[in-house]
Amino acid sequence: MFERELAAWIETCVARERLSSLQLEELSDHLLHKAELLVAQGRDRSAAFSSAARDLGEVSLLAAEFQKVSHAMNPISKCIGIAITSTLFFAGADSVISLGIFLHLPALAIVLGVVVGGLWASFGPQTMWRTLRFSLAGAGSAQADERELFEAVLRRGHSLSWAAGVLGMLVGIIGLLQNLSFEDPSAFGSALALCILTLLYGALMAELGFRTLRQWLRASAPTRVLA
Amino acid sequence: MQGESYGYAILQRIAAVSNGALDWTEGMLYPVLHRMERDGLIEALWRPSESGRRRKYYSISAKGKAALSEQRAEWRVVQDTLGQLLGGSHV
Repeated sequence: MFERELAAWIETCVARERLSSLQLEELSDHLLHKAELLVAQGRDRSAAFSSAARDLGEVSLLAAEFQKVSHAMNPISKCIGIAITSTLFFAGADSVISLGIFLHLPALAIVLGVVVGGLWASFGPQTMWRTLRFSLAGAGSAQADERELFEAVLRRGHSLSWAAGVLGMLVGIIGLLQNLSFEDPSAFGSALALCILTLLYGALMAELGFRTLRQWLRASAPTRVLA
Repeated sequence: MQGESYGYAILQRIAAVSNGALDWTEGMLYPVLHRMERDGLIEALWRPSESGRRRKYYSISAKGKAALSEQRAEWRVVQDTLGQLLGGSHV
């Protein structure tokens, strides 16, 4: 009865949203069931389907909620993911250069100092600790306003990480120019290392650290059912 | 708790019991059902419906019944406390 309307609705879903075939099938059944009941009550066919689709809700919001369900992970999966990333990254790097080169305490100090200091000044240590704990373990029991606070901490951490990387890079460039000497090229080696490694540490912390924690936090958010 | 049911029927039941007071975004029930299925609180089965389409039916699992008993007990505490705060009448 509603083949054309349903086909158009499915096409919209498939084009815009990442719904699986089973999720689409279940939602389609709901849509058609409701539309058929409305027609049986005397509603016009087109109006019945439109009404049913409207009551079903915004498909983009449904897709986002479905993704939370499919992307939510248990702690073991998280650890395996981190282990795979670390192992492959360092194995690949080790095949070309000595891994000891990546360890640069001044660069680490700059990045950690800016990130931890910035978050401490903005949110305090207690909020930082709670954010880390809930992001790792799942914040299902956290209230909505607390969850927003955790999101704010992780967003700030992401920004600070990149800022720390860029700041360190600028400090390194200044040191590089200060020590620039054709008589002793090795003098600017440490400045160059600082320049490059702070950027690397900042990027890793931002994208592998804070962005991942944000994803875990979002994946554990409960679904809002009441309109 | 009352046998098996499917999404639309669950929504109709809630609307009937609440006299329309609980305003659901209908589609949002399904991610909740999927999450509960993932967590082992309910079980699901695809079966042909009266219209001939495949339909997903849900029923509560043993783990779900245990979780429900726990939450019922917690809700009773909240209900009794609110009732006393609001002058003895149950809300």
